[in-house]
Amino acid sequence: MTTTVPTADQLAEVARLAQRVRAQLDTVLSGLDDAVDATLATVLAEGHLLLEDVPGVGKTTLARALGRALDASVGRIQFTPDLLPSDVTGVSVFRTDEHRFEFRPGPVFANIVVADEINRASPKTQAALLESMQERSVTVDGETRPLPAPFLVVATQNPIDMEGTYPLPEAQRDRFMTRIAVGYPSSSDEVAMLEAHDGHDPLAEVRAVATAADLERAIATVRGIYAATAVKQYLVDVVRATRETPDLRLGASPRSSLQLLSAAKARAAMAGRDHVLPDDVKALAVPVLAHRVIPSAQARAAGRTAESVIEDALSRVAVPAARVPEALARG
Amino acid sequence: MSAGRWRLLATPLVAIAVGLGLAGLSGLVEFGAWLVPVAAILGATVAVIVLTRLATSRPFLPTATGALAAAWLLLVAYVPAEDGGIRWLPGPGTLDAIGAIAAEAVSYAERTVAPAVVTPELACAIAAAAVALLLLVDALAVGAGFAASSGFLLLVPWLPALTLERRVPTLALAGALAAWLAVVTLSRRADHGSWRARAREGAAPAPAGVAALAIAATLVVGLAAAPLVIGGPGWGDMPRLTLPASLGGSSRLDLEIDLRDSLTARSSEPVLTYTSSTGRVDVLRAYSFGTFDGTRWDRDPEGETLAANGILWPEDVSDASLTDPGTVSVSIGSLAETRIPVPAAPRSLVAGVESRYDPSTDEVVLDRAEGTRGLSYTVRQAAGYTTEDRLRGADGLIASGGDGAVPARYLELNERMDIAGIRALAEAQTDGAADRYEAARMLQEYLRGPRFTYDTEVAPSGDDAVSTFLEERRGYCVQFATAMVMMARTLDIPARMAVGFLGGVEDGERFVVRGRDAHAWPELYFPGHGWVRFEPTPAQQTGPRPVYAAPDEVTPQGPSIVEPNPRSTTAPEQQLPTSAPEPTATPVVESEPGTQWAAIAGAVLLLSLGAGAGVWWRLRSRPPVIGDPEAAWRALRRTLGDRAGDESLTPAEAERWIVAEGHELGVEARDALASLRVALEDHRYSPRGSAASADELREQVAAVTAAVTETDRRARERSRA
Repeated sequence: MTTTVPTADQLAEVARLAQRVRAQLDTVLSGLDDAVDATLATVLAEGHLLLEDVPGVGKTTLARALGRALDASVGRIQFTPDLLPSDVTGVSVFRTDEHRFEFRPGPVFANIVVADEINRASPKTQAALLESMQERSVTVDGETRPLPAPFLVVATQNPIDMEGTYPLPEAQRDRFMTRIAVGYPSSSDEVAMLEAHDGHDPLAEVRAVATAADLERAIATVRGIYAATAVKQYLVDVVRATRETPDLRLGASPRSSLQLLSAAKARAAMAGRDHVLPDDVKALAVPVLAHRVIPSAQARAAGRTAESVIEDALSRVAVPAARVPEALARG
Repeated sequence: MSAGRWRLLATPLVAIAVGLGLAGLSGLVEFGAWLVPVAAILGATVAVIVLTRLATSRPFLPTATGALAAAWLLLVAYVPAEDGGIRWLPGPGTLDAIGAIAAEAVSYAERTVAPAVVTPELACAIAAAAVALLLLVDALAVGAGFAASSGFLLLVPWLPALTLERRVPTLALAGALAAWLAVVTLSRRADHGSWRARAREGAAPAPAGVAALAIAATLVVGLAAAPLVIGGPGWGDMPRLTLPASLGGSSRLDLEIDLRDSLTARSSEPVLTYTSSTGRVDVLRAYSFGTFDGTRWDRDPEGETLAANGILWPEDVSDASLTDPGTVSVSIGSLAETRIPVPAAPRSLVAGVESRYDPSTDEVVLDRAEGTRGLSYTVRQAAGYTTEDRLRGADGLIASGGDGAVPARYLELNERMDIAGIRALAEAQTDGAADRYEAARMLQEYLRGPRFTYDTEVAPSGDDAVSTFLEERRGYCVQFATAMVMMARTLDIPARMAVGFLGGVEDGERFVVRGRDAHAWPELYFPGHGWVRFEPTPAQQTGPRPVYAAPDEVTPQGPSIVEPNPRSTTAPEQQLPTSAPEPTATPVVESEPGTQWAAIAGAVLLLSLGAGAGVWWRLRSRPPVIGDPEAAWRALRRTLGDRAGDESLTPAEAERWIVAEGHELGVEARDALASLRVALEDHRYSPRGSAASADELREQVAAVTAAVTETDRRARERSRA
C-alpha cells in the first residue's frame, strides 16, 4: 500500500465528497453533526463503526442513509439469537443439476454492512462477522473469498436491553474504529425531524452522491495525509494517559493509537488539510477510545464514564508546543 | 483550567497557619530560641514545595519533595552525628539516633510538667510534628484541593490551648484563621467531588507574575516573618482570649479531692504574689484533710479555734528560731479561699482582718464572705524550724505515747483499702529504718523513685484507689500524697494530707504563684515537733525535697533508697538543681552548637533557593525575540496570561478561548489572531512549515495585545462607572 502526498485537487475532492454526504445525511438526521462527522471519518479511514445508544434515536436510520448516500451495495443483517454464522457469511449449496457446490454469498458481501443489534446474536455468529471485519475476507468450506472494497460495517447495539444479549467482549469491541453515541436530538432538531417525516419517508429522498470508486479514491487520499511527529507524540501521550490514570481498569491499546491516527487523518482530509492537527486527535479521541477502555470500580462509583475520563485526559495532556526536529524524531 | 497558580500562594499561607499554630502550645511549652530553627525548617520546606510546584504540574510531587527536604533539614538540625558534629547525610546509625531522640522526647514529655522547658529532643519532636502538619495540610488543601476541610487539621495545634488552658493567643489564632480563609478563598471551591479531578483541575503551571509573588511570599515567610512572629518579643505577652472557666471570676482550690479524677484544667492565672526575706517558700498551706474513704478525702472538721491576734502556734512562741524569723508578705489576687495560705512553721500573722487559728488542723480560718480575695497579709515563719536532728529526736517521745495528742482520725484506715497489702509494702520499703524520720524518708524516696511516673491522667480504679495507684504507679500529687499518708498510717505514724500551693516562680523581687501551682502533700506527725511536710511527688512537679528530708548520700542507711541515679542524664533534678521549673530559664536550645548550625544551614539553603528563584525569574522575564510563530505565540500567551487558556488547548481552541475571554476584540484583532494561529499550526504540524515572516508575526502579536489591553481598559472603566 503506497501512499503519495495528496495534491490540493485531491484534498478538495475529499472535502467536497464529505460535504455532499454530510448534506444528504442531514436531510434525515438533523443536529447530529458530531456523529455524522465521526461517521464520515470512520468511512474514510477504512474503519468500522459501532453505533451504541438507546432505541429510536436514529442509529439504523443513520446507517441506512449512509448506505444510500454512498451508492454502494448495502447488506443488512438483523441479529437475533438464532442467527447462524452462515446467515452472515453465506453458504455453499449443492446444485444437483450441475453436480457441484455453489457459494451463495451472505449479506456480508457488500460495501456497507448494517449489522443491527449485534449484541443479540450468539458469540459464534458475532465472531463470524468480526472476523470478516478484520480479515476483509470470508472463508467458507476452505475457500477464502475477498470482500468488496470499500468495506464498512456499521453495527448498532442497544446498551440498555441486557436480557438475552451477548455483550461484545473487549477484544471484539476493539475491532470497531469508532463508537458513536447518537444521543437525543435537541428540541428544535426534534421538531425539524417531525416535519421531515411529515407524510413521507425522508430516507427515500436520500440520493447517492458518491460511488464506491469515489470512496476508494478518497480513502487513498486520506492515507497520504501528513502527521507531524509532534502530533503523533501528542496522540501517544493521550493514549498513554488512559493507561496511566487510576480511573481506568483497562487503557487504550496500541491498535487504538493506529486507528486514532487514521481517523484523525480522515478528519484532516475532510477539512481539506494535508496535515493532521491536534484538534483532529482531540475531536476523535472519545469516539475512537471510549469503547476500548474500562473504568475502574472507584471511577464508576464516583459516577464517571469512560467518556469523561478520556475528556479529563485530553484536558490534562499538554499540546506539544515546539516543532520536533524530524531527524531527531526519526533517530 | 488556569487555577493552578493559587497553589503557589496557598502553601506559604498554610505554613503561616501552621507556624502560628505553635502559639497554641503556649500552655505546654516555654517559647524561646528553639522556635527559630523550627521556623527556618518550615520556611525552607515551603520554599522547596513552591519551587517544585513551579516546575511540575503533578499535584502531590511538590509535597513529597518538601517532605524529603524537611526530613533532611530535621536530620541536620536535630540528629547530631556520633562524634557530636552535624549529620549531613543519613548513615547506618541514623535510625537508632532518631529512635533515641524520639524515645527521649516522649519520656521527657511524660515526666515534665507544663509549661516545659524545651530540650533539643522536644524541639525536634515539635518541629517534626509541625512539618508533618504542614505537609499533610499542603497535600490535602493544596494538592488535593480540599482547602476548607483542611481547617480541621489546622485546628489540631490549638487543641491544648482550647481545651486545657482555655486561654487562646488571640492574634495568633486570628492570623492562622485568616491564613486558612485565604487558602479557601484562593482555591475558590467547595469541598466535594473526586480528589483526582480536583488535583488535576488546578495543576497548571503558573504565569511569571504570580510565581514571583509566591516566591516573594515564601521567602518573606521563611526568612523573616515566621521567626519574628514566633520567636520575637511579645510572643508571650500576646493578648489572650480567656474562655470562661468553670470557676467564674474568682478561682478556688478544688477541695473535692477524689483520687479517681484526672487532673484536668491547670490555670496559668496568677492567684497570689509574695515577697519573702528568706527566698522562695516551699509551700503555702491552706487546708488539712484527715479522713479518707478509699477514694475520696474529707476536710477536717473545725476544731477549737483561737483568735489569731498576731500569734500562731502558741506553744512555740518562745522558740529560739523566732528571734530571727523570716517574713513573708502575701498579696492574694482572685483566689477566694476560706483559709489563709501560710508558709510552713508560721509563727505570727498580720492580716488587717479578723482570723482564727485552729491548732488541731493548723488552718488559719478567715471569716468573711469574699474569703481571701484581695487580701494582703504578712506572716513571720520559723524558716529553719524543722531540721533532721529535731525529727530524729522525736523517737523517745513516740515510745512514751507522744502520738496520743493527735486526733484518732489521723491514724484511721478505711476498711475498703487493702490495708494488709499496703502495710506489707510500707514495711518492705522501710525495712531497716532506725526511727520514724528514716521511715518517712524511705517512703518518700520510694514514691519519688524511678518506678513511679508523674501523670495527670490516672488509671480507673475501684474502691481502693491507693492500691490501684501503688500497682499502676502513675498519678499526680494527690495520689502520691495519699499513698504516703496511708502507708505511714499502716506503720502507725499519724499522717494527714495538706492542700495549698507550691512556692511559685520568681518574678523580679516577688514570687508569683499560679493556679497550676496548687498542690497536695503529706504531713507526718512528730511528737514534740509537730506536723512535718514530706514530698513524695516527683521533682518535675514539686522541685527539690524539703531540706530536712533530702537524702543524705553519705549516710550508710541510704543506699537502698538512693540508688546511683539511673536517670542521671535525664533527671529533671539535674537540670533544675535548686529551684522549681522556671519559665524564664534560658532554653537549652541556645547552648547547643548543633542547632545553631542547623539554623544557619537552613538559612543558607533558603538563600540559595531564593537566589536560584531569582535567576530563574530573570531568565523568564527577558523580553522574547519573535523570530518564528512559536516565539510569537509564547509572547502572546505571556501577555494574555489566564486568558490564553492552559497548555492542553490546541492553537485553535486557544484562539476560541481568547476570543471568548476577550469579549470585544475587533475584527482586525480577530483576523490577526487567526493568522497567527494558522502560522503556528503550519509551523508546528504542516510538512511545509509556516510562510509567515517575522514582521508579520510581530504585527499580529502587537495587534492582538493592543486590542486585549484596550478591552481590559474599557472593562475597568465600565466597572468603575
